[in-house]
Amino acid sequence: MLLLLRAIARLTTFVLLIALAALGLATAVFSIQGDTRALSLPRLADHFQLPELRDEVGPYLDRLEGDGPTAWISVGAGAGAIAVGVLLLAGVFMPRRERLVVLEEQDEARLAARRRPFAQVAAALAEQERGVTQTRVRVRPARLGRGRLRVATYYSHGRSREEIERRVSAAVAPLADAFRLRKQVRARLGERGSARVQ
Amino acid sequence: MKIRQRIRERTSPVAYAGRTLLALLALALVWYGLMLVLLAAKVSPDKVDAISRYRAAFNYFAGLQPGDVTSRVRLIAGLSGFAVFPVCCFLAWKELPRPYLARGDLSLLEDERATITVKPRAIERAAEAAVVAHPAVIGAAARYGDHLSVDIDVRRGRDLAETMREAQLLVVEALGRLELPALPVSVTLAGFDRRRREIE
Repeated sequence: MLLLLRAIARLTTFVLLIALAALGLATAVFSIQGDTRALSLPRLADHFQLPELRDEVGPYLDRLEGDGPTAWISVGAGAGAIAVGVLLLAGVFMPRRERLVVLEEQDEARLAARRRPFAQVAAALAEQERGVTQTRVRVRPARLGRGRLRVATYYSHGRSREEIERRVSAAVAPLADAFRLRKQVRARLGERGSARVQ
Repeated sequence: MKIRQRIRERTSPVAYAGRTLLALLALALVWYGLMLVLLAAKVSPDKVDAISRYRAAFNYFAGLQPGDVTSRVRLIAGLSGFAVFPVCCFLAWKELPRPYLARGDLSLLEDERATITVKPRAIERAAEAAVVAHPAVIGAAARYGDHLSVDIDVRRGRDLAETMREAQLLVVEALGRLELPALPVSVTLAGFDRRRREIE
């Protein structure tokens, strides 16, 4: 999907630039003569049928601005324009590659981790702590500055929340520190029927 | 079967100017699309015009007459159009994709009598064999392109950073042992086998 959006954005950019170049050339050529002669700007406007466009858009705007029920076709057209604009923006700005959690980077050489296995590693480290029944980890790599490692952990009855948070935090700390991630650990009491029992 | 060949593309920094133009167009689409929705939903036209100036812009362009195109306007329009044409042509040229195959033979020697090349798969196999020698690594997939990148699967979460540094060092040492030129080596954690992880 993203690949398609990027391709559409590239094609649209190319077509837009060619259209602008042609328009620039036409404007330069049609500025040679004045009044309404063959190579004048009013004649260029005629070629592009701008007077007819004006005669259509003016009454359309008048109708749109007038009182009456909601113009659903125009709502749809506006929503369509918004959707196209958002998709084009996504095609321009969405990153091409998966963002990685970077450990070290030197020129082209980089030590990094994909988000899913990195989260699995963090979860495995957290679940080794006694009393922890289940862990959910979310990793957000850094765009600028430090990324974030969020650990939501569930613990069994008979343990204190503070103790679990402290121990899980200590368990994932070496990983978070090495990859320069801010860690956030939240512990909750596990519910009955949890997959893991300790 | 793993597809190792990659098609990459060289992007000129100038191409970002064209993309900026497209982003502006997209923002205009979003903004005036929203104005159209507001007008169609019968929000006060004065309010919509106050935030977007759509009516003012339309009235200005609709009211232009041939007499408004003075010699000065023609000069400015002509010179602007003349300048826009080559700039936009250049930007459009820079937008054309220039793909290339990222993976190719490594040439060690080339003269009039002989050539010595190393196939990319040989380099990748050497890297993979070196990395899986690490006790914490259970699998590796290397790709030789602009540089050598190695995806690794690990079984041990503890000391992950150290494992990755050691994996990189193992690859660098293996290339040195094979008397291959020093390459930038990237290591990426691509998998963690929870079932096969060690009891730590």
